Amino acid sequence: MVDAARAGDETAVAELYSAYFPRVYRYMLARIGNVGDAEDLTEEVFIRVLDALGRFEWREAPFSAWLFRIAHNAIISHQRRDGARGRHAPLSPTLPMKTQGPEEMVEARLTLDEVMRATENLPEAQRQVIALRFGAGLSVAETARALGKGEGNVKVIQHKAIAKLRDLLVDKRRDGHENGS
Amino acid sequence: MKTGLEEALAECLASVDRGGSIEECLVRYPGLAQELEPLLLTALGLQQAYDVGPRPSFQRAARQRFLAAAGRRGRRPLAVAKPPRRFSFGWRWAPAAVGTPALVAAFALAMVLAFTGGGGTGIGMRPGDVSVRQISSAPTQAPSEVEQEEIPALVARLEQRLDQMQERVEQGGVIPSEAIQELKDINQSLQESLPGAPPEAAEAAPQIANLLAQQQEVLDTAREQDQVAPEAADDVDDLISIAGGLQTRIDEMLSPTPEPTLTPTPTPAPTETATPAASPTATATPAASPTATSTTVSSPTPGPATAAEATATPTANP
Repeated sequence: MVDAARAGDETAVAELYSAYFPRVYRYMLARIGNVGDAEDLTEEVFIRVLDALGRFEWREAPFSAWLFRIAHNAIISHQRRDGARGRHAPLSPTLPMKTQGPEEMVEARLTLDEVMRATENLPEAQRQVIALRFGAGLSVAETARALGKGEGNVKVIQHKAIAKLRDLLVDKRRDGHENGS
Repeated sequence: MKTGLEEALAECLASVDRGGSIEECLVRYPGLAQELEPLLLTALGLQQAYDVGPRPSFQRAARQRFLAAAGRRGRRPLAVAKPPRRFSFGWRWAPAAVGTPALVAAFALAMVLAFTGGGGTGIGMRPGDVSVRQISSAPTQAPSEVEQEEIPALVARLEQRLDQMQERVEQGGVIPSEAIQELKDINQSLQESLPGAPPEAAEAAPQIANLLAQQQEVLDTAREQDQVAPEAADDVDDLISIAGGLQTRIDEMLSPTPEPTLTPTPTPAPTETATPAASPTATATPAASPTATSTTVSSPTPGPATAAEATATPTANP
C-alpha cells in the first residue's frame, strides 16, 4: 500500500490516510491536549506526508515510524510557532468516546482529562513515549525508530513515565476523594 | 529501579496487546508481580483514556480536504518527488505551476544577468525592485566547496554529540557550557553551509531535521530538570535561536515552494547561471509548503496560491 501510494496511486494514498488518521489524531491529542490544535496538526501532518511520500525509503525506518517522526516534527514546529508547549484546554464535550453509555462517556472523558493534566508533569521524553505508545498505539520498536532512540531506552522511559503517572493519578484521586468526603 | 522491571513491563504490555491477560503475564514474573501489576493497570488505563476518535464532522471534512490535496498532487507522480533543488545562485525555484514558458523566461533572465555582470537591476527595473520571489535567508555568496564537503562531517558530529549529551542527561549529569558552545558552532556551520549545497548534501536535510528535534528534546529535558550548567543558560538560548534558523532553512529545503518573503535582488555571481538540466526535477516537487499548510489547514487550497506565486516569476522576464 505504501509503495503504491508512493507511485501516486490515489486509492492507496486514501487507504494509508484512513489507516493512520485516527492514530495520528490520538497522538496529537495526547501531545497537545487541545482538540482544536490536535485537529489542525493532524491535517497538517497528512499534508506533509503527501509532500514527503516520494522521499520515503523503507531502509531508513518502517512507515509508521517515518510518519510519526513527521508528526513529532510538526509538534515541534507548532510549539516553536505558538509557544504552546503544554497548553491544555478542557476536552470538547462533543468528543466521541469509544465507550457504551452516557455515564461511561463522562467517566472516560474525565479520565482522559486527568491523564492529560498528569502527563504535563512528565519530562518531554516521557511524554513523547507515552503519546506514541498509548496514543498512537506504536510498539516499543516503532516508538524507538520514530524517536531515534534504542528500544532499551524506550522501555526505561516507558517504565519511568508509567510509574510517575501512576503516582500522580493515584495522588489526585486520593486528594479528590478526601476533599469529597 | 530494579533491573528487568522495564523489560517485564514492556513484554507484558506486548502480551496484553496480543490478547493476553494481566494475570497470565504476572504468573510469568512471580518475583516482580507485586510491582508489575499496578504499572500494568495504569498502562491499560492510559490506553483506555486515549481511546478517543476525532469528531465525525471534522473527520469527514478533513478527509475531503486531504483527498482533494492528494488529487492535485496525483497529477504529478508522487514517486518522483525529490527535495527541492536550488539553482547554484541561491534562488529557490517555484516549480509547481510554472510551466515551460516560465522556465524559458527564467533561463533567459539568468543569461541576461550573467552577460550584464550580474548587477542587482535587470532591464526595465530600478534599484530595489524585486525581480523574482526569493528566500530571505538565501546567501549572497555560495558557500565554498570546503564548506559543502563538511556537511556530512558536521551531521555526524552533531549526531555524536547529541547522543553523548542525551546519555549524560538520562544519567542525571549536567551539560557543561563547552558542550552547548560546540553545538552552537555545529548548528551555525550547518546553517551557513546548507544554502547552495549540492543535491547530495541536501539529502541530509531530513536527518538534520531529526537531529534538531532530538537536540530540542535533550535541551528541553535538561532545562526542565536543571541539568544545564548555570553559566550556559544564555548559550542555550542562543543555541535554540540558531537551531530555529537552521530549522527554517531545513523546512525550506524540504518544502517545495519558497517562503513568501520578498527581499531585494542579491548580486549573483556572473558564472552562476541556471542549467537546463535542473528544470525537469524542479517540476516534480509538490505544490504546498508544509509551513504554509499549517495556517491554512482548515481549507487548504494550495493550487491557486501556488499558481499566483508562480506567475510572479515571469514578470522578471527581460
